Amino acid sequence: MVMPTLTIKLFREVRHMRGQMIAIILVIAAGIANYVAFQSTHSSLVLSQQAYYDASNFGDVWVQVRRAPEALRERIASIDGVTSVDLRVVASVVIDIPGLIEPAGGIITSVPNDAQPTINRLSLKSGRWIEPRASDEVIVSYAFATANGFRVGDTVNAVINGRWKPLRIVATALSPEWILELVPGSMLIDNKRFAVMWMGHDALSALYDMSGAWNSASIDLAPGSSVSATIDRLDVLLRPYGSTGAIARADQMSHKFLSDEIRQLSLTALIVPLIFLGVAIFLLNISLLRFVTTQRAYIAILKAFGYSNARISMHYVGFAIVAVAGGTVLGLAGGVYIGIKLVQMYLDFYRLPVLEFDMPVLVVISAIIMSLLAASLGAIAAVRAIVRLPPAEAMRPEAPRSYRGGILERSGLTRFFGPVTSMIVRNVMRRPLRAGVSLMTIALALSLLVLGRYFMEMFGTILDVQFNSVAREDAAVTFMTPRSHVAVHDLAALPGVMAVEPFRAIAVDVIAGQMTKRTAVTAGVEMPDLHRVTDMSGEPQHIPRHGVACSRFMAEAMGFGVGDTIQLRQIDEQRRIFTVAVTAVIDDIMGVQVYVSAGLLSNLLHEQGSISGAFLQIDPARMQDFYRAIKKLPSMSSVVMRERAMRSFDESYMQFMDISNYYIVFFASLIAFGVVFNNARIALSERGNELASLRVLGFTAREVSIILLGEQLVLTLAALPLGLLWGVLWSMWMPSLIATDLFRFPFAISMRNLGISCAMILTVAVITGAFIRRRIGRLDMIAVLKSHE
Amino acid sequence: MHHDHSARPILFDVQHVTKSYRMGELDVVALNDVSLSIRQSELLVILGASGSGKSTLLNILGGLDVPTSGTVHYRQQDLTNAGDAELTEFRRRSVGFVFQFYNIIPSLTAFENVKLVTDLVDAPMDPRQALELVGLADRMGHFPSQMSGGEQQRVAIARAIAKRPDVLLCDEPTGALDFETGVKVLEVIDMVHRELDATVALITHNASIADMADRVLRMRSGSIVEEYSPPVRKQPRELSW
Repeated sequence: MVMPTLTIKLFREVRHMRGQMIAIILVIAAGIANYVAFQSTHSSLVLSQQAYYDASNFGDVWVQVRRAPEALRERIASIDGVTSVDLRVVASVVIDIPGLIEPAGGIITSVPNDAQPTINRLSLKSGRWIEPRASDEVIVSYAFATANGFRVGDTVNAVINGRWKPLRIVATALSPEWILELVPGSMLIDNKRFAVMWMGHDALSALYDMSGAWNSASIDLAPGSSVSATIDRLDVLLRPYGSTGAIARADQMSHKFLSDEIRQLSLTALIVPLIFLGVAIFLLNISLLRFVTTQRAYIAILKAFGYSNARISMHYVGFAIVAVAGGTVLGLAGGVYIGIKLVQMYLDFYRLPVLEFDMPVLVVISAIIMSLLAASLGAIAAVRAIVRLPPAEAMRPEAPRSYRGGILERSGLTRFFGPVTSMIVRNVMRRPLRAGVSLMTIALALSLLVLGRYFMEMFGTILDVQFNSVAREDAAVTFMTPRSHVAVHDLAALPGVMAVEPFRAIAVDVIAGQMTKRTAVTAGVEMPDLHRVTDMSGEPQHIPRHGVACSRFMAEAMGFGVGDTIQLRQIDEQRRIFTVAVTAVIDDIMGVQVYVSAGLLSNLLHEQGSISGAFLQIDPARMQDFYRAIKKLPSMSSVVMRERAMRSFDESYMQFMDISNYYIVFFASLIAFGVVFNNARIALSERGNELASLRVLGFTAREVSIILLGEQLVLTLAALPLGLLWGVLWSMWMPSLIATDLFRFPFAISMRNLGISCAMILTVAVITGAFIRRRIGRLDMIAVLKSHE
Repeated sequence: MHHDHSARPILFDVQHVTKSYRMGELDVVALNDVSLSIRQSELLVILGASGSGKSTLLNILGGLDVPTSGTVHYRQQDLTNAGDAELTEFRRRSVGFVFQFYNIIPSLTAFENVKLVTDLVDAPMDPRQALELVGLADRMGHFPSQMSGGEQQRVAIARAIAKRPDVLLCDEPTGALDFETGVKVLEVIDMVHRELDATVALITHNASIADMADRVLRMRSGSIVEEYSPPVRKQPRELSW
């Protein structure tokens, strides 16, 4: 079968305009790659999470008690919907890591002596299960082992129930309960200093005098049974045993964090790529429209020969198909590659043993169809505009534009311009539609750069607010149980401690109407200096003396505001309910917080200055002494050092976010390049004859270049403010979309962002200009004299 | 050698045609109440200066444009009110165009430029044969940029005749060519007229070319001002300007 001649024309012209084609292909490839990368990352995470939960039989409900007898197992199992119950002993331990001065701690959970638990099964990465009768064997989390270089066969020393005990590592493992090993009571990941461990049930109960008893249960429910009904039944049953209230999977910390991340990703994976794809598609449409318009004369000839409008349209749709096919191949390859990289990165952060890479085919196909449709519509719109003219008219050059004296002439400004400047200004002003479209495409490209950099800088802003405005203490100490105010003096007496700011915090369920949210009520000192409450910009916020202050995110989500009353139900055995007035709403970074004055909290709890912990300022020179002293204090459940927290935050979350944001900026840059280059290149084809005529008239190549490039520069400069505005608007829209319970994202656009984004657009414009300048040097003057176009 | 065409059937019947259009901000009356008929197998030359309306007339004959008023018939077919699809079909089946500026597609070779048109019709000439006919057998694989103006115009003629049109419409076919090349192109047109028995309408501002016609119309300001048949029909080689 011989190729139709029109197809030959198509391929030859595609090859001829390869620069322009590559630019268009890059734009669409960037749009599709971004879409594919983030969508498949999201889909892969969801699938991997689900696959892991299924394989490990992840629990549905958890409950902690002080101590309860084994005999309760039957009672729990008989609750409607409960399919299995796993009773465990869970304990905090202090551990000693060789070569580490700072204190380290951990959580140790019992597992059946000779088999995997039925719920929350572990995945062994190395080693073997515990020997049934061994009393010193532990399985440690893979993350902890890796961070400290521990291997199977090594020993960790731990203080268990006040006694030093060497523990032999027999295996490393992953657990669905610890996909993210957050240090309890903080939002930090510190695999080096926080150990998650498992020990045989008999051995651990013996060490904690818990034989025949348990303090933690994990429960599986039948599909479709009511979680809240089960929780209510459990709470009634277990209150006498010191239950703090059962929690559903949704409130399990590791799950909550991962799910929040996935939810956030589902939005960023959808919205940001949709913006990118939308912009790419729009640019594709414009590019094809403008390209086909430059083929006006050929279209007229094809028509004169008797080619039907449909055949001609199909021919130009061919260009769209080539562009979209090229962009799709490149975009898919790039998107899958980056998607796999992103998923792998997530798996470094989230400890999931299964990686199911999934590219949602339907989503990708829809992206391709959208691109193809947009490109084809661009081509067809241009063809239609041309074939509507009788061919004779289309074959004639377009009638001269009406260059009547405009504002410019009337204002008399032209006197100050040379003919070249006048031409630039007139061209821009007399073809407002063409100029407007160019300007808009450049502005859109710029807005993507601003949005990309916004993501890049946002996490820096969070870090800055969190550690330079909020948590300015060197160490945060939390006691296992509240202590009297005397403890402040004990802390102040520790070596190196220069200032102490005590705080009291209780766990509560916030109840507003039908809605309940679990969080903490925190009371600090009246005029805090170390640890403050600030808004998202880092401005310190006043905590009212009466009533409570709530995070705006929570207030809005639960539908209350200043002046309303809410209930706080303390999560402890008594489950007292306090009714309080909301007297302030704070725009803080943490999304779900309740702040209250120390006086009010004491009154509510009928306490006299009890404290849960304190923020400390420490003399840097005496840090080591402080560490040594604090290691010996058994009553501390956790010590969080600011330096360490910052590093942990930076190493885990920041670096990880940086990479995904780097891709966003990379795609934005590709699109910017494609757009600016394509704009200038099309301008050259549209104006080639006019410019060659000027050369014939005696204008130098340099002067002619100034006319074309000057016009491009004017458009680019004019596009900057619009692009910045759009970029800022995109960025302002983002935080509300991706906020989660755990984090809110500040809107902060730095001058640096705007400056770099503009500089990138201008750089691309200059590079493109150099290329166009070369092409102008090669304009064929003779051809233009011969041609009537 | 002078043929008498008056006995032949009428191919085009043009009655009281007027054409005006807007060019930028001007209303241009290109044709003003023009009537004529063209008979089968005649070689008609339409003479006129630039702006006399001759190109507009040719475009209307070829179905590239429609009149503002008046009627145009091709055989029994009314072109006056023909829609776009009908005009497209008419051009495809019946008309071959040769333009002053060749209008061949730069991205296609000589052969492919001809084939572009033969792809469209049922029983075309072989593009090679068409190119041989215009003396370009050895230039088939050349791109327009590798050919002289005369050669490009001959490609355009080959392209026009390859689909065996009933009528060949030539708009200033020698306008962009030097004398020698122009004569060669006219010889090709004359040959096509004779050998394929095609009806040819040729417009030119060059009065000398009129001597090769069966019949001559002279136009000025959108009207036909003179009609005559040259007493002696010359061969292109005998022309001079």
